[in-house]
Amino acid sequence: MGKNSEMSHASLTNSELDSSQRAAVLATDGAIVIAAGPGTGKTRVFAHRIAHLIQDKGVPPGEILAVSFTRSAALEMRKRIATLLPDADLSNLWVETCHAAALRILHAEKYPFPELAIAEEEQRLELLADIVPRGKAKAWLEQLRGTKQCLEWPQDEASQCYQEALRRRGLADFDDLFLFVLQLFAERPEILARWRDRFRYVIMDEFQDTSLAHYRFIGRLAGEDFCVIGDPDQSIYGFANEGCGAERFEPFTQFAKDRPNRRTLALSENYRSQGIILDAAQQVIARNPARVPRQLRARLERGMPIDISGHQSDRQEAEMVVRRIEGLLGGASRFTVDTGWARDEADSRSYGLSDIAILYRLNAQARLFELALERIGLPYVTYGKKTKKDGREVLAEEDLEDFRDNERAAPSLVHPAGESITLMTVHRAKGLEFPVVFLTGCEDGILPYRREGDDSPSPEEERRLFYVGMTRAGSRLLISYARKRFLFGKTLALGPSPFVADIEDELRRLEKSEALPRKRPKDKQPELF
Amino acid sequence: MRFVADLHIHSKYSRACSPALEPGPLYRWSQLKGITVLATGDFTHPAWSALLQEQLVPAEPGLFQLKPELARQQDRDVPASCRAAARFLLEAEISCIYKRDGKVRKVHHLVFAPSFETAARISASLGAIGNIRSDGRPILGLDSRDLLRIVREASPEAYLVPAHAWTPHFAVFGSESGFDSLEECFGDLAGEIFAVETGLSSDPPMNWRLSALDRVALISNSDAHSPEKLGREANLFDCELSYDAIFSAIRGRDPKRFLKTLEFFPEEGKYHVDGHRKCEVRLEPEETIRRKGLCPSCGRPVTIGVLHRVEKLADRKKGKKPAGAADFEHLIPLKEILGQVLRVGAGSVRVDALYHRLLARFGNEFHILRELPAKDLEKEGLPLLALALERMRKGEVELQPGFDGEYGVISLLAKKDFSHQDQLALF
Repeated sequence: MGKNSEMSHASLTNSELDSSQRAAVLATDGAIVIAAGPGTGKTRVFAHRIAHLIQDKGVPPGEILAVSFTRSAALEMRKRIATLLPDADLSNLWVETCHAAALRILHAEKYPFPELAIAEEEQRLELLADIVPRGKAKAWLEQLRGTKQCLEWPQDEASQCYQEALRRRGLADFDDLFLFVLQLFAERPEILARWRDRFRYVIMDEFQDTSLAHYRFIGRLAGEDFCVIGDPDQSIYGFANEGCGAERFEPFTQFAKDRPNRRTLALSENYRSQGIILDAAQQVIARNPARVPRQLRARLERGMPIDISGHQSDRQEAEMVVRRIEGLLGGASRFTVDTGWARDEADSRSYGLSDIAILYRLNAQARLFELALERIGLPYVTYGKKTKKDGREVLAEEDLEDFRDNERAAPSLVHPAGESITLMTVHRAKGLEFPVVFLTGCEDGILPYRREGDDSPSPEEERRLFYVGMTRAGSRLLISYARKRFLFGKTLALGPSPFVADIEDELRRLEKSEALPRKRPKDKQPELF
Repeated sequence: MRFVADLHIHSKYSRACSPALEPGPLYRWSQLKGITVLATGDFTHPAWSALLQEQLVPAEPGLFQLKPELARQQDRDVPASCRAAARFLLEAEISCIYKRDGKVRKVHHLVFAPSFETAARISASLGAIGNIRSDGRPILGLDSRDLLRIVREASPEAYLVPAHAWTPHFAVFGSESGFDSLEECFGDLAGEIFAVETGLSSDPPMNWRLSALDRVALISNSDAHSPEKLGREANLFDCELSYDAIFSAIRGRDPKRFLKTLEFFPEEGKYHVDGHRKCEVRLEPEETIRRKGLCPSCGRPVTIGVLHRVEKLADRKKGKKPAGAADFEHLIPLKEILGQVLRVGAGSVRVDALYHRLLARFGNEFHILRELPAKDLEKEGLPLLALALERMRKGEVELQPGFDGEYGVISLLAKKDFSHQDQLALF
């Protein structure tokens, strides 16, 4: 390593990091929790931390295990580290997702058999053909997954036939990886010791969304120096841990229990969102009960107020969103420019297609936006599958789908050539940022989502989801809701989301002079009735 | 042979375009206007491409003509004086919206193809990137350089020409979202650009002020959104009638084959000078600079027009014509002239009636505008029209330049011209 790069890193540490970031980079030893709010430079800290270990502390890259939430995040992280350390040999540095790390270890140990491969969806269904009735295969696999997520091998006969069939072909399910690797560690403590010894420094990103299986695996592997980075306010995959044991697994709580000597450092300077957006987001998240109060400071200017608009119908909402997009693009066609139809009078900046995201709770909401964009001919990409089932089934499955896609490949990897407007669920937008965010379908029952009966998602988690959606936005946040929505074969007439009412008046700009309820329904005065 | 070509129009499948933009009417209007080669527009649009393939048949190499039976139907509505051959050439306009160097760029480009096969190859590449089904002028999030690469890879005879190069919002040199040079826009492929379309608001002398453009040909087209606007700008060639001959004349910048462009007075264009249409404020570039680019009425930045933009990028004074540059001629659409003569709107029934009467009597519009001796019109009892045409041909016009999307007004006749004539007696 040359002296020049040493100097450049030292200067990076000084000039490119604020004081709380620098503290988080330099605290390398012991169990560390870095609580990183949205837009606080988490990725930068993560990369600088590794660069600091290698460059300043002389840790061989092979002794570091960095765990990212998605494959694209892992790739991006590797790129960032390489940029910081242009002269270092990073071939032994592990920057992996949990699954990839488990698979690499299993491959290295040839456990449970050499050349273990992950079964593709078609292979799984094919294997199941003789075991489970055709129509039930998917649901059956879903249930199996639930069991495995809780780190239990299924005991019933059908499952055992299926596992045996996988084994005969040298295959494993995605979810088997953690069972296998933990089984290996349990059976062969000397192997675990060797890996623990190798990875002296373990760093884990997006810790708030770590599942039980991920945590058990990485936690087992990590020694003294174990750093986790994340934001409890952005935990939106808690449901993935539901149903494992009596107590719900919550990663930060578990970490505190397992590592009582942990130190907590906070990143609290937000570089992403303009002040008004950040303030509004904090007003919303502050309402979550049992939340440890945290305050983020905006480093950007106040910016423009948040647009909040109500529409007659979901169709009209989609049309208006697309019209606003035309304005933000500074007119997409000569027609709209010449007629002055699309000018955004308040915002003189113009945005590019890839600056803009339309976010929604359910994939089913994408369709109307697609139609409206098609009509104008604006390029867009919709991420995520569309499911045609009724709402009851669809939700948990969809959110999980996003979760798994995140594990495998993240959106930025599958971008086609050419820029486009992004359509995705709020779940999928986790970790991403856009100068302009349309947070749509903000109705009481959609976001927060509610099903009939009592198996609705936790309202706290839905609030965090709304917070995640808001904090994706850099310069403009446009929130919308519809008074009528056609969803899963029913016409719904839902009021605006209570989360919207938590944003104080000074931060918003209502469109079409339509007043929103300022107080939450429960604050209404009874004598009015 | 000498012929007029209009190489940029749209079909009924483009946003805000007339439903009359179909092959038959285009064929008929080509004859009324005096256009021999007309671009098809919109070849990337699947339905338009299908319609073209259904109604056109190959003519000279790279050119197409309306099927004879369809042509016969249309010819019934074309006066004998205007009947002539009319050909189509495959063209499309692509709107590229993308970010480069942190700025949003919105640039329109013309794409030309010598055959439906090549056109299909280009469409397939573009269709894989974005939506080409919704709009005849598709919006793609594609870098101009990448579009150029796709076009050039589709065929050595497929070409890209930046469209209406100076319009503020959608052009390669546009003040709002363009570039300062072809090199900046197309990078290493800039050498593949051999022509730019000047657009309505600029004419060749304005473009000659940039020495960087000396190496490219300047072409002019109508960008028509309805059949009546065909040929409001166009190109005059003297070469063989074929796709290859046309582009070789343009590429070669050969003043013997690419003779001249037929132009609007640039002041008539919608973005000639600066201003704010909403505030009804029109500013000459010097005035805008003095006011630091802000509107005296609302205080917000004005839309910078083409004249200002040219001034900014120019490295040469007015008056020099680069070697090899084609000539040009300023024209005003005949209906506008008739409107002035009759002192009614150019879209009025009376203008329309006189327009068709003149075409039937003397021949196509370009012939009347450019070649018809003024004496013939006097003999026809139209001395005011003769006077107006003469003034147009000599450039003796009064100009109120266009700004911020508002067309300019070109006056050929003054009040006193009407006083000693009794035009009403003619009708």
